[in-house]
Amino acid sequence: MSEPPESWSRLHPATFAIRALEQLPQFVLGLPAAAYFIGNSGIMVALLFALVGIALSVGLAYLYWLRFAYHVGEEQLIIESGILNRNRRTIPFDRIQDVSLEQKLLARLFGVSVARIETGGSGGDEGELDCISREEADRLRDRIRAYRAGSASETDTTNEATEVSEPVLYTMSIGRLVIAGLFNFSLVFLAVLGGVWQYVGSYLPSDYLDPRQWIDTYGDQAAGLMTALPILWFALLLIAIGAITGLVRTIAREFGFRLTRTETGLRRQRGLFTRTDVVIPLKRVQAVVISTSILKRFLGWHGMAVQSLGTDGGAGTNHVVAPLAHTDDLKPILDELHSRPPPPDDQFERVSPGLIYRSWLEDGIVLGVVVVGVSLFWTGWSWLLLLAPFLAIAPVLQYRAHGYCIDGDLMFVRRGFWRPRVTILPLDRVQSASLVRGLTQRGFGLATLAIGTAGASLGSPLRILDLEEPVARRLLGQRVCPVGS
Amino acid sequence: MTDVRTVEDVDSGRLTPLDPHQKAVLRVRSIIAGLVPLIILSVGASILEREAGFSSLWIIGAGIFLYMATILLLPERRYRRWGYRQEGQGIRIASGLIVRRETVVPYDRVQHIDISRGPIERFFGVAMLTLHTAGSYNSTVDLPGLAHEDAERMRDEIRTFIRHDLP
Repeated sequence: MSEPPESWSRLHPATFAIRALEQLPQFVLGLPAAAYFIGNSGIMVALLFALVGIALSVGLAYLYWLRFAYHVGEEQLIIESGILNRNRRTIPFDRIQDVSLEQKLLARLFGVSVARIETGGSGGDEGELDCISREEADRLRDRIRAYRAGSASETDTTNEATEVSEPVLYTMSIGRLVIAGLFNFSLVFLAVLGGVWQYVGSYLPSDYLDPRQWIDTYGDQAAGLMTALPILWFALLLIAIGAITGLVRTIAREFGFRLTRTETGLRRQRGLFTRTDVVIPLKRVQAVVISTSILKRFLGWHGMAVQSLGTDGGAGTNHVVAPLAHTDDLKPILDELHSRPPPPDDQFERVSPGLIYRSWLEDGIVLGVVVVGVSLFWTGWSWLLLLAPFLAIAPVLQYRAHGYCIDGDLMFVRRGFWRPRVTILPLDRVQSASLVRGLTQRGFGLATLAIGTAGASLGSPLRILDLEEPVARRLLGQRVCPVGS
Repeated sequence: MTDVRTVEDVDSGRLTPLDPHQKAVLRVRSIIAGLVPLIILSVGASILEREAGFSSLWIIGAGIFLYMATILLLPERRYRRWGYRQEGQGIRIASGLIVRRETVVPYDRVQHIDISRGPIERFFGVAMLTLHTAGSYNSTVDLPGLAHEDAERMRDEIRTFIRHDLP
């Protein structure tokens, strides 16, 4: 170590307690499995194993904590880690865009958070301090910001000032949380129930799961229950479950949503149990997506996300910056992103109506093949023809919802009837573009323009479907990728 | 401005075709790639004949016919669909027999460049130029079948445009 040892910091002592506690559920859930293998008489043996396991994991967590040290220098952050293989990583402040924080429920109880060092590199695990106290995180943040502002000396005095001077761009009230939750109606609960059932079920006596046994025992009662009224109640129950699941999930994720403008980018804080504090450097924002659903749009609601390079706690590279907002609320955020709200729908150029004919042809061929195939095995094949009206209408709706618009340095592409979304792409963020012409498209003289953007995960690539070929060519050569001499 | 209405492919003479040796490369690849399915087909057919007792000669015949077609006809046609053109600030690459694809990569969006040569390509003196972009779509753009010295010349030309920081 080149620096004096006393200037090195350790992670917060709560770290190894949290790690040990996080391991606990695994052991508890593993107990039935262990008992199953050892036999019913071996519960005590299993318990012993579990205790040894817990002790081992606590020991390991402690060792890891002991061997992990970091040093916040004048110009760089140095992290040393590893129990046996020592690993020393130096991250110059020049390369650090900002520090993102995440607090899981346990971490919040101890008042600590995971600090993730966001560098300009395109993704990857650059540096993580798991966990440090909130004050320590703020100290690190301020040190980096101060360095970037060119005044590495005054670190502690600016602490309060930086917190206050961040302009708030968007917050979520409780009312909005509830509305967003209701829009997120979800029956995922049933899937979870199924999963738990499978897990628990494997430890239950086998005849407990035998459907015949169930029918024998409860068959008559079940038949008696199968009247219209209970079915209605059951449907209402499902709707209630779906609504509550959506509410709970949304509130847990978005509670206290707060988007502020920092020196280098946007800062998003959210979460009820797991509290995250993410900084999205403006430099790394590639595109903006405004999405809604047909019902949401009718009520004037939209959601907005940015597509950016780098990591969002490993959850991909799109950051929601406004889960539920009116168009007016989006304006200030778009201003900070050097972007503009999309123009009204009638300003968009339509793609070729050939999209409809091509879809009809392709869908018709597929339907025909399926019908012929099915008719060999099933006499009720004619029911499949009921699909035809839907297949006939869907392309028309798709055509009407699809369009593009180039306004100065920005390109807007709208798409989707049921879930309309507008992608806003600055033309200087285009990485490459392709003109793709499939077999049927060639017959209709159509071409799809596919645009590659960096860090894409929001429905990538950006596609403009079924343009007239000369139009697509002109768009590609003159606006999207003007590389000609 | 060039007239965008004309079809951009090798036949119209607006794109540079690949090195003619690439045809031989494609042919050798087809010969090797088709061999395994053909053997599996033959073995399967002969087993079928022994066990179920119906004539498998026409199955093998059809297999050989397809195999010959992929060797004799396909490489030529696939070769003809490839083409490229270096423009002022970027490169345009056309490819694809059934789904036609024309990709434009601006030079200043290239992250790094590879030249790769397999044993077959080394034998015929060609190389593949691979452009890496930061996009998740078109993250690698291949231009196979360049004469080796052409590939190296293009790499050196494009390399001067590469910026080391992302915008």
